[in-house]
Amino acid sequence: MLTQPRTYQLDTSQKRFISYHLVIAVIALTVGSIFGPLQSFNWGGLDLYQFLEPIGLGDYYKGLTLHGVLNALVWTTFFITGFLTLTTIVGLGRPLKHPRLNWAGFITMAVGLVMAGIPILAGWASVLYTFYPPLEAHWGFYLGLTLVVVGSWIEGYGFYLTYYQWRKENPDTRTPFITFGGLITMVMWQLATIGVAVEILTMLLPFSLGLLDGTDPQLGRTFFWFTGHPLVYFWLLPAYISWYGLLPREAGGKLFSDSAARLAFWLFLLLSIPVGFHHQFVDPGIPNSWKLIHATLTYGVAFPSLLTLFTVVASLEYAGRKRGGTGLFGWIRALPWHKPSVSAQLLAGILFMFGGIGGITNASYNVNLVVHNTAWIPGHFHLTVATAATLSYMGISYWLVPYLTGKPLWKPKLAVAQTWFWFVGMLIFSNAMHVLGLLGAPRRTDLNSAPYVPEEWSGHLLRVSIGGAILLIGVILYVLIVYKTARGKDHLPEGEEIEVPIAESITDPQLTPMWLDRWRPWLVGSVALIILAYGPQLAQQISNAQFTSPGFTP
Amino acid sequence: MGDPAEFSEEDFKPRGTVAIVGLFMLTLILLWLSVYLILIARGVTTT
Amino acid sequence: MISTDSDPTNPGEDGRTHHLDVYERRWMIASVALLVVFAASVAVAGFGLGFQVPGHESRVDPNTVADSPPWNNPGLRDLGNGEYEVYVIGRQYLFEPNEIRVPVGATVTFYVTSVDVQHGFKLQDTNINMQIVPGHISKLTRTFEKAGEFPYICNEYCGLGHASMAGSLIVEAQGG
Ligand code: HEM
Ligand SMILES: [Cu+2]
Ligand SMILES: [Cu+2]
Repeated sequence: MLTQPRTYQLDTSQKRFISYHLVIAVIALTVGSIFGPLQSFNWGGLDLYQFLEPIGLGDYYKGLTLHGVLNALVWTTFFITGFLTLTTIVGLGRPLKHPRLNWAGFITMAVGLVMAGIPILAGWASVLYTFYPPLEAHWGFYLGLTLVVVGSWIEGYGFYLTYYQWRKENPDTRTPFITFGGLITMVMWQLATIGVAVEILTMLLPFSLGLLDGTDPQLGRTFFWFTGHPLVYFWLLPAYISWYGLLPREAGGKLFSDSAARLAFWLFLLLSIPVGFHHQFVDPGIPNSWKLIHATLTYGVAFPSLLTLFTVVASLEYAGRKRGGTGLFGWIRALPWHKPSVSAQLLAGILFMFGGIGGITNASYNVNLVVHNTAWIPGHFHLTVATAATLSYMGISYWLVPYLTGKPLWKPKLAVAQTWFWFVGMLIFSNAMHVLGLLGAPRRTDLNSAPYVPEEWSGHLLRVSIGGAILLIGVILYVLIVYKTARGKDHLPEGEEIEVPIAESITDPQLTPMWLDRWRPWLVGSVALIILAYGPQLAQQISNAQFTSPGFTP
Repeated sequence: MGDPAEFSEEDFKPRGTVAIVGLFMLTLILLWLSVYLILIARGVTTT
Repeated sequence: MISTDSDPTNPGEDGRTHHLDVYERRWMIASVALLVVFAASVAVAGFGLGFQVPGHESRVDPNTVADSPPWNNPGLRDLGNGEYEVYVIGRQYLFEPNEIRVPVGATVTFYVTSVDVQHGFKLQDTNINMQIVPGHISKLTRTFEKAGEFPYICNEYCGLGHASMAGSLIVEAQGG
């Protein structure tokens, strides 16, 4: 039997370090999320941008750039690096080997954020969060984003060194699951971001500094999507860590299968990256045979998510039955829905089922013709990054903020309501977006001033606005609850400190096969698969590169 | 609600899970198919 | 603490190591089967029925492409036998031409490129949906059996005036 020692307690400086990540993350979400509802109101015919004109935020696309960058890149990356710091040190039960290194990483990220933020606010970088060349932004934007990525790498090196030390001292122990998942997430991210790093350093940065006359936009897209698809797994995997490794405990149960959970994570490392062409099915510069290869591999990466569905639901069923739930579905009601953290993650998981269905649809090669660059796509990823990931992070913060601050959660019932506002708002919003996409509505468009909007769309556009309004309440409540908790005067009573809810597994992790705790074969396999799936086509595109496309400011 | 004492870890069979993933698969097939049929209905495009 | 009586490098003597729940294993098999069926359906549509995505066509220089034929005179070419080609240039923030007229029954091949930034070309109610990348030509073909108006819109962000970038394909009833 594996009896867990009382979980490792963080000291104040460690807690503070993680808290700083969360502070920046939540500020980014607050600012970034102002624009989501504004966009959704614009689509429904209510243009509020005119009122923001005096403070320089009157442009739809400047707002959309802020929305994409701050929500999808900053809120996520800062939350994730903070959370992975926690999974590393709590899982391994030891402090970071070189805390200064991690501080250096964090500061690099923060400097990068400021550097990228200034040009966006000044209107010199309204290029959206994908910054496709030859749209040209101020160099500070590209350099800033690079620093955010490099900073996250440095924090990752700190995790590896800590893990390495632990491994030397514990050669035969299975890596604790939350640490294991966190490390895989970071390794995957470091492999994945090579694409965008090369794009920025060899093309966009020199170009924006005037050192290059032009870019090769097709090659730029290929580099971008090398990173762009695994980016979505970078967002999701921390939520999966929580669903597998923490949520079962919060719900009063255990992880159903340690082996299945680890297998899923390895498959994500293996298959997240060599699938990027599924974002380029309708690109002119890529042979269709390569698109088909990536389509097939994308079906492959659907597999670990389908596996996750089973394992996570089974863990929850175990919890629900243990709590006295009976019948085929009675255990669902028996789950502790009154806990905001549980409610958030359950609701996130429910919506993610539809996110997964949409994802498999997008990946289906020619079926992509129906949905590419339509409103369906943001409809889809508001179920994934903006719900499966974001609502789960919100749920995590409902125990994490009290854990870090030693203060009780402010109004837990309101926090439960917050999760339902998000769920209901997103249900309406995302359903309307999917339908609009099927009717042909484009994404990334100030639809209020588009000349071609048919009457047929108007009911759905209105539903986008309604969903957006409900989501706005969801954001405001979340920020308020986090703020009030962190600034609260009461402290948790002595002896009632919060613990990181690490779930036990039904099967002893020590009995999980050794090959599911070995890095080398999986790393070699991942790199090999990337080389096979990208190498020849990338070599072709690089050798035929023509840096002839001059820049245009939006 | 049953008696929690009736719960036994050894006998735990994820029957509800099977039902849920089954329903999920059905939904997946239906929704996927509906978009696939839109593709077909919009007429063939060739290169 | 970790029990040391089971050898961690050779676990599983009690048969539990490779234990994967039978239902979970069946779910894994069903998942794979479903993905195979989807892949087969996609392949049937793609190779049996011919539903294709734009593929690699040819490269051009975005700076000079509009100076020489056919791109210096964008628009429709009648190839006879009901076959047409149409050359469309995307630029911030319009399509040239912004109106195309063909008769019912026309088989039209769309060639689209950009002289500035990336654009999109989506012909509503059809499967013509292409990323327009400067330096490349995007191409797809379709036959129009019914009369009607098909707006084409730019569905990739191309700058502040992006929302107004659209045109219209009009399929005219014969003799009309
Ligand atoms: C507060 C609730 C939110 C609402 C009402 C909302 C609404 C929207 C709308 C209407 C769009 C489409 C705009 C267009 O294509 O023209 C959009 C785009 C987007 N949203 Fe949200 N959103 C919300 C929260 C979030 C969150 C939490 C995230 C990520 C964590 C997120 C990430 C994105 C991204 C990445 C885009 C695409 C930007 C682009 O196309 O460049 N959103 N959002
Ligand atoms: Cu993707
Ligand atoms: Cu455009």
